[in-house]
Amino acid sequence: MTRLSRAICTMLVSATALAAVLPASAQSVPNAPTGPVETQYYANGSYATTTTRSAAPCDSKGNQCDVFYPSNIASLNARLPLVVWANGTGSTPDNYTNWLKHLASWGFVVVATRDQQTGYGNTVLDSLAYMRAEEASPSSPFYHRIDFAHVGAAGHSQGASGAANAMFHSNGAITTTVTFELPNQNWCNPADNCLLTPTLTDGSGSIFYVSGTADSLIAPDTQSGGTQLNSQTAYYNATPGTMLKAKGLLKGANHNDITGTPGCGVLGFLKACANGVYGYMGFPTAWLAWQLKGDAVAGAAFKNGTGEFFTANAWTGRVSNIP
Amino acid sequence: MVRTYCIVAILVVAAAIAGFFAWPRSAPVAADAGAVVVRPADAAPTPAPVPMVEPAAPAPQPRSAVETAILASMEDPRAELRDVVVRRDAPQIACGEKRTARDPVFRRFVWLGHLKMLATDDGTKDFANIAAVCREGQPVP
Repeated sequence: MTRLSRAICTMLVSATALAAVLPASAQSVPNAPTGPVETQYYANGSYATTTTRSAAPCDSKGNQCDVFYPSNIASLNARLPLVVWANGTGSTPDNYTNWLKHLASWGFVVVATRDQQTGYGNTVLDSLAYMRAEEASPSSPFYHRIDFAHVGAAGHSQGASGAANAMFHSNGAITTTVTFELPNQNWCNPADNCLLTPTLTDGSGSIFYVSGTADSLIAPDTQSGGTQLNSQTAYYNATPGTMLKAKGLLKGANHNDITGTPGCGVLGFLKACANGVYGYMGFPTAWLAWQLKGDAVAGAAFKNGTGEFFTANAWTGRVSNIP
Repeated sequence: MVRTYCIVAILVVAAAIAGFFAWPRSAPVAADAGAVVVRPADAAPTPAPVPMVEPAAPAPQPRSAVETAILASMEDPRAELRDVVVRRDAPQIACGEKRTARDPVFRRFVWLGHLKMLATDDGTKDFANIAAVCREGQPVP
């Protein structure tokens, strides 16, 4: 091999290695947190996490469930709040591992059906029932470890509909929901595989609508008109005033940024992942910590107009009715 | 050893370059050359005016991969598509008309294959905004 070709090869090897390492270490992180609450929950929590998969199907469609939880759950004194997760269309929990482990690191047990069509919310409720059975089984790691008085839901895209539907059809078992990129109703197929207006307007609980400014085709902030709920603002406005509610859009975030690991990698554009999950980790986690773990400081961040959420650099389109 | 690393590195870089150029995100093609008609969905059944000889049934046209994906997303065995057009510079996007068992009128749709998302025309300006993505050169969501 000549000296020149050896040099070219060395350069290529170096460039390849650099490309593999860059997303994790050297690139600037988009949507960095700016205030104390966002900064606190943007970071991973103190718990190491474990992931298990149900040995048998956990929902009525025959899907298994993945459960993300603190590794030392057996030795903790307190029962842990539960979050039921709903995947976007054609997705499994494998697409959201960074986000789901992040929640588990903050002391949540997260159960996620592997259903790829979660819009109705029925399989999400099945996953809740599965965890109730696990909690009652002496042979389960979750035996007497779950606090079923504090159950929340979260989901992405079609799963955002599924999470909200699960809450509204849970007879009060699920008390709060975080929706990521809740699609306009004109993206629902079939039409009832989404969050229907009567379901929302008759609902109770609390809800945090989260979208991204680069997802204007599927989950935009505003709409032109019409009677369908075709924007995050329309969903927010249709949510009863008796519910605690908030809405915000992460700047520059695309439809699938929640799937980041935490970045999108060099091929992220193939799945509409642009900035990664970074900016989503702070306030959505804070909302759940407030609603399910009683973190009042986190709750104060959403106070209408004056909370930290309203001055955070990474967010826009913010509104809430939190007093 | 070094030679092996070099070969692997060259292959990785070559694949990355090929992938970058093969992915047609905004190819500058003539403005109105942007669509490829996959097929008209419902060919009218061939009438048989003289029942003397049983005409051969027309062979069903094979569905394209994009049509198969769209229909699979709808989970409706009676769903039909017609006039499906794939955006030439963004083949993950398709537009056309669909009808379903519960909504038997053909309505326009937009399909984002990379997101497995299907929008249906609800007569609003918002759908018109979505449908703009069917035009070549528009940003891909």
